[in-house]
Amino acid sequence: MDESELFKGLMNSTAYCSELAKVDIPFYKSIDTEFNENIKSVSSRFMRLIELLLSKVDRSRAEDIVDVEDIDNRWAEVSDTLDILFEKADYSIDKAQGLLKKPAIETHASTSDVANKKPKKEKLPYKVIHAAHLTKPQLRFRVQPNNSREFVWSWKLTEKPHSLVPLEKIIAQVKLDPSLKNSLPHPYEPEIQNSVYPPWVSEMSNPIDTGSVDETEPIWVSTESQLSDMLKELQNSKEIAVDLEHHDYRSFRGFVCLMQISNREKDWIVDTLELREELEALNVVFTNPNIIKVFHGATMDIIWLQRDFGLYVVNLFDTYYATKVLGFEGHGLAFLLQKYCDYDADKRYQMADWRIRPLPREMLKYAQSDTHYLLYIWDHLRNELISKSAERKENLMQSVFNSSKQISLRKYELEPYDPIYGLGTDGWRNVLTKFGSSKIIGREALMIYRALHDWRDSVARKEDESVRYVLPNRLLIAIAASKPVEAADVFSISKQLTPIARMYVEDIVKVVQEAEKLYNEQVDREKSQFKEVEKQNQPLAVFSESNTLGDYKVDSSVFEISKQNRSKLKTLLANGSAFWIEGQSQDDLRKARKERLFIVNQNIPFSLTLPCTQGHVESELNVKQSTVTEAANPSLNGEKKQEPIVIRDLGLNKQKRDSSKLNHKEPSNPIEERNEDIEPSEASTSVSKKRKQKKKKKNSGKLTIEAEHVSNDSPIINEAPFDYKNQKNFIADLDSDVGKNKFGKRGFNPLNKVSLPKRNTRELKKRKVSDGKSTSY
Amino acid sequence: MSDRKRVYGPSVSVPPYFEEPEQPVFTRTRDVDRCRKIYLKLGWATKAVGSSYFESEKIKIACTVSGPRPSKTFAFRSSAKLNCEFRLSPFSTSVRQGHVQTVEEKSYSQMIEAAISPSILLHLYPKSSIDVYIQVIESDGALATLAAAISCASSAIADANIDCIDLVTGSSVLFNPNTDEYWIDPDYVDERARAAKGSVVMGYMASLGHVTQVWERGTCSPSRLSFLTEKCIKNAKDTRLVINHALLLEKSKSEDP
Repeated sequence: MDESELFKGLMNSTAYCSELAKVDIPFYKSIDTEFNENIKSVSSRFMRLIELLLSKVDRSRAEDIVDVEDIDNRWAEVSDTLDILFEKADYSIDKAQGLLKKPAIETHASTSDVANKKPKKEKLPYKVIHAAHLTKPQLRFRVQPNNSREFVWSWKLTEKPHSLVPLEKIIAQVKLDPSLKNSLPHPYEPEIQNSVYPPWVSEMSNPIDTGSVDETEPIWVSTESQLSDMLKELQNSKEIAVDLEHHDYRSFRGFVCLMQISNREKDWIVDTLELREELEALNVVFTNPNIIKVFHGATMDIIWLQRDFGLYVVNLFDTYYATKVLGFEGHGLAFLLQKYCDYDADKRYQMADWRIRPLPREMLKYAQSDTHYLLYIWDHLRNELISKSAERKENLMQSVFNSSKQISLRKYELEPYDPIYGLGTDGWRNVLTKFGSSKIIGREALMIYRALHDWRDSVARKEDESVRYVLPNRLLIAIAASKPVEAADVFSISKQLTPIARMYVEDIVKVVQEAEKLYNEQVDREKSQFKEVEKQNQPLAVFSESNTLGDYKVDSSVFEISKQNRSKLKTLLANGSAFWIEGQSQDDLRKARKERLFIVNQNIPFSLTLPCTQGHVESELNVKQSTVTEAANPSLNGEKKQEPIVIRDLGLNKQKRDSSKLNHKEPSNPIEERNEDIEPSEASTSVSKKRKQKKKKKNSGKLTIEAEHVSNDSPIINEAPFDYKNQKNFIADLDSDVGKNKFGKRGFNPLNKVSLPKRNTRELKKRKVSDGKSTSY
Repeated sequence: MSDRKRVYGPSVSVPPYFEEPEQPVFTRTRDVDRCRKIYLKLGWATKAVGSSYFESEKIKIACTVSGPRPSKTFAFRSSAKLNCEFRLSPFSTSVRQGHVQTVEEKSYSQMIEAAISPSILLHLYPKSSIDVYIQVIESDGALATLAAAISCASSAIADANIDCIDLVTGSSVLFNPNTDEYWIDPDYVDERARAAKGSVVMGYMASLGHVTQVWERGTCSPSRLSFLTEKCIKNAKDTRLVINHALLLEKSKSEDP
């Protein structure tokens, strides 16, 4: 039986099940004995199935589940069991498909790693995120950052190694064309555009394992001699991995704090606070087209390199674009580390304050891990790109390099402050739409807000702090919306006012008051203008005096069914709609729907019948036969033998219970002998025949459904798959058989909804889901 | 429990490649004075007190009214509170909308509320609220959609048998401030492609001859504005004929059986 058929069957039975209101079932049970018995047998089979399922997983759980209420009460256990089963199935499927693989590099879970894992969910201590009392490192910079609004930025590079077009030529070009002054060309644009990646890149190679981070000690580079040593080694490498750590909270423009560089053997960590002016020397490596520079997510790195050191990158490979092209589900570095190295990067340190010196050991390790594995990841990605390229018949490697080229062509440009339109990422328009759309309402508030925004920007420039540090956007909006009159008002807005805002609180009040004054002036000006217009006595509206000022006067022309209106209506009315069928009234539709419902009710078949279980067979076959089935299914029997099944005993009526108990006391007959004598299927069919005869005697009108089930049991006993397709539908039979029923010609059909009494809605509402019962299934 | 309301894409996917977008082509074949044909159906929702469905070519708006019903707030109000909820379906615009009501949708709700509230006799229903839910199934141009939403909401109010002094119909016009061009009932292509920077949207009570609300954008001389307003009014009157027709039809249906 294939999946679609199974699904269809399942759908049908679900649909039919919902036709019958649950609350009405006891009523039907009492009114129709046949229905009662059917329901009983079905539910007992369900119970058997559930018990069997539970006992397969955990025997203790299957104990004394007797009726439906037990399942309700112990739902947690049932759902746990199902969870375990699903989990196991998932695992097995993964295993079979070969998705479970061992990670390529075995990183040993060191003691520090285990220690790190525990506080993973905790936030980093604040002193690591922001070292507030640190003296600003930018004060020690030899070239102080210029934060003024008029500042024109120019390249930092003084010479241009590996150049195709000499630097002097570009400088001359800029001098000739003053329009280029505001947007300088990229000095390495021709070199990047014409760069070709070396041919060895597009050859498959075995990934070179660089070992775990803990095995290699990073080399700290903070002096010029160390830098030149590093440079010598880098020049001999074919490929290097680079990453930067940046800080922009306590600086207006931001600066790079750390540069990590790795080749195949060593990891260097460069203190860029110390070597800020010397690092230009790295251009010898960075612009060398024969050395591949591997970055992950280089978008901002490229810009920071230009701004702080005058560094440019030729032949960049951005692993981020490789993950995009390969269609990975994750694009972060943490994902790649997890995938290829099974290394759990602690990404919390991304937000750490990297100005801290000396660096704590954890941060140093994090910094090192950023580039340490990157070359190994690159090897893997390269291989995958090459194999996928052959599959898709396009050069994916080239496309990654092309995307990386676009990134390395990015230019650092200063974002001018735009007081009028508020454009730019930190412009007032952006902040307003993101944070203040519900608070800044009206022109007055907007003017105050804009003035405050301007003030914040100028203070941030003066103090060399980020705008976030001076006044967070949320606070900026709150202050602008509340229009403070004096300093105390500002303090009352938030308890967490930033130190700078505290310092400048008088200024804030002044700015707000000035903006208010400006607004009032503008309003006065507009009013006087408006008065002038009024004086000119130009009518602004089309209405005549009588219409606007007089009593309500109804223009009845829109109601008249005149010829004119009718012809107009013809041009206006659409012929029909995509949604509604004209000419069919609601009642017609309802009637048709009712008829269809009736037809459905007439032949409700259970498209999906249940498989018979051993327990069911036992109860069906009554006393003697139980031994036969036990023999036929020895695997189950072995476990069941010791404890007689409780369900059947309680489920049957008293007489039967007694007899079954009696029977269980004497299962001493040699089981194996019987098994040899009669084939299990034969045994059950012969038994069923007996049963049939018995039943016929009892009630000739009744269908021998049970017997049919029994006859279908044989495949189960033989442990062959259950044949759903050939199963008979007992409810369908029930329907076809109603004619013979005692209820006369039409017969009583308990599933006929048309004749159903209305559901007791009040009782339905009363029912509540018991505690601990999950509805996620 | 997983989020069942939203359907997320597969975790592994490749973005589609689009060809270069073409220059918008004017699809307008209508006269500048002519509005799109309208289909209006009332009383389609059985569970709501009043409902209407408005369709004019690509614009499809469904609106239901519940109320007047007891106000949920405890504060006493001598007149009914009118609440409008304007929602764009995620698929209603060319750029997919989110499920959460955006600021834009909220402001549209307020605009519609302002446009239709003068027509309703709110003082007859103290301590109660009237809720109007406007669901845009498909939109074609922001201006025309807003105008259509006003007409749709007002007709649903009428369908709910809530006492009104008149019905409000919306109309919109797009104009070029630099030339004499204007377009009644502009669609999306008109809005995007014409170099027009001015627009007028208006709510109008046709039988009383009152403008309930007017929004104007772009510079415009007083004489030009009165000209455009007149155009709008003419269009709004036409729309009113359709509403009247639909109401009559609905009335006769309910009387027949």
